[in-house]
Amino acid sequence: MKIKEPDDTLDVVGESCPVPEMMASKKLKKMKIGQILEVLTDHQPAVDVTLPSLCKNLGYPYMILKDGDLFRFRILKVS
Amino acid sequence: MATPSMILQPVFSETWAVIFGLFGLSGFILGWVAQRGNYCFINAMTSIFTTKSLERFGALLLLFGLTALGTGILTAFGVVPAVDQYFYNYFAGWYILVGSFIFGFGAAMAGGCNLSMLYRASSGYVQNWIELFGMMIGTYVFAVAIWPFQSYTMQAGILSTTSGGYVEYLPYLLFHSTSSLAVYVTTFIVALPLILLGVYFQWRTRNRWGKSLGGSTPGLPGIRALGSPGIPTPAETSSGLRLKQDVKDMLLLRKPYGTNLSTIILALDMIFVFLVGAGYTFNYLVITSSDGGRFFEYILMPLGINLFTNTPWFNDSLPIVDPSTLMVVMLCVGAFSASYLSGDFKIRIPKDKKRLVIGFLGGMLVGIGVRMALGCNVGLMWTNFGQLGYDGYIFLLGMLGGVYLAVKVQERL
Amino acid sequence: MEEMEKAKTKAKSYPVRKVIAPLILSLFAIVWFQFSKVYLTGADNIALREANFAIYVTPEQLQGYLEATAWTCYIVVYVGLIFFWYGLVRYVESKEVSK
Repeated sequence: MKIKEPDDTLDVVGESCPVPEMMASKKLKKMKIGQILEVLTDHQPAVDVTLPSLCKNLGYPYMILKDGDLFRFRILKVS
Repeated sequence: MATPSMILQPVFSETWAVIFGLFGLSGFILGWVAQRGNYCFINAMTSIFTTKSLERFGALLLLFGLTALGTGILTAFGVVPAVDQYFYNYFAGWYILVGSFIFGFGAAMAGGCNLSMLYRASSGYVQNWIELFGMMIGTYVFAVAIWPFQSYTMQAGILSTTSGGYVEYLPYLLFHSTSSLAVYVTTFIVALPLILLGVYFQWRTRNRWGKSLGGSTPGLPGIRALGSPGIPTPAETSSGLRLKQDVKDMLLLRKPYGTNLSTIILALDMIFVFLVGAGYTFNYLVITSSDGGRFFEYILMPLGINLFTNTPWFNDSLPIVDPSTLMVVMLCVGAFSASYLSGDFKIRIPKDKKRLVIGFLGGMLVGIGVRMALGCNVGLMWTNFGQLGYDGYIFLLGMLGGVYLAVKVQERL
Repeated sequence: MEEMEKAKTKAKSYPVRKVIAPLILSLFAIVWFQFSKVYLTGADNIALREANFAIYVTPEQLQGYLEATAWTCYIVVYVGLIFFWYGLVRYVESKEVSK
């Protein structure tokens, strides 16, 4: 997941709480199995809490890359 | 049986300066902890519908339960007279349900309840500044357009109780008494289900996470593979060491507070205010009357416009200052300090400008909703659980409905 | 990739916003106190003149408020100044290093 380029990106920089996880869950629904979604955000709570809990509920593995002030939150759609 | 007293008497002898100061301190703690714990009532509710996670909603119920337990026990053991618990119970009525629905919808659209709006605005989220401004306008719209009608129904008792206080105090409703025993028993009737339900929701969600991870991702060793070096992977260290490290990280502001830690501190903060303000003033944490109404009034004062002289609601509901004013100002200072010291502070403007418009409109709905409901998620819902009333349940129901609608609408946008 | 490079060079110099933010906090505290003293006291007098006791605040309460606000503002101003000073030192240091 770290090396592979994401198939789709979601830019929610500057947005705060319900938005990142709502947009991500909407986008993930439209994606195919095996694809990676990259969520760009600078909202710490989204990285710490809401996006991980979204992934845990869906059972999707994820990883976080820190990029300066931004986070790249990559989610692999598995099923 | 004699009617319960409605006379407040100072419980502890403090000067007004001390009360204002301690309320300011409680606001600081509220802002600091909410910021560090990313405490968001709206998020707790949206996550029920978006990610099917009940973890944060469970924490919310736990917060209400612990608050009710704390204030109830203090009252039952006579530390604080019962009158201080029910004196500021509001009128219940149609407007709480309607208002909380509008509030929930607006807040979930705009991205912040009254608490998270303020601490995020202080952490540099422009979206929430605009929401705050929208809320001020919404309060004005409410004052002019809705309040005259609403106060008429309140006085006439149309779908409304005509007075608050002990009339809505659950010990009085259940046992027709405000004696220590009645309060004691009611405290447990209110607090225990909330606490147990909260713990159960959290347990269930965590359990499901464990299962879904074990089942669907066999080849992956650690789900949380952090990209950047320098952050230790938690799996390597032993649990005792990890706890010590966690505490250190939290004190050094490197790590946010966990949901349940924040819950406990916030419940204690509410109980602290309950004690400090007893006999003097509204002795609960409260935000709304200040951020939407009072600050709008204050901003206009230097321009020579005094809303309190002629505008409905502003001229009969809002003292010029009260301890909650300083509480809200210090909430912002606390949230700013926490975000600044942790390095999180940054002016953030959403890229999608549509969000700013939604923020403003959502803020207006928040302003209208909270005023109709006579308080927000803190000053009415959370507070009312501490008051052992039933308005909190109505508010919770309405807010959940509003949030659900907002989630559905957001999915379409 | 370019963005990443940019972010790295940015991270080296101490951000200016961190230097200015505490100063704004201190200024806010001063303005808040002055505002309370001038306008809120004035508003309370107007309320008394109009005999609107729903919004009028008794003198003891208003004095208590002003006293508590004064002390709080002192603390906030000094804390803000300390942070400002600390931020300024860090900022100058980071400029020296990058030279």
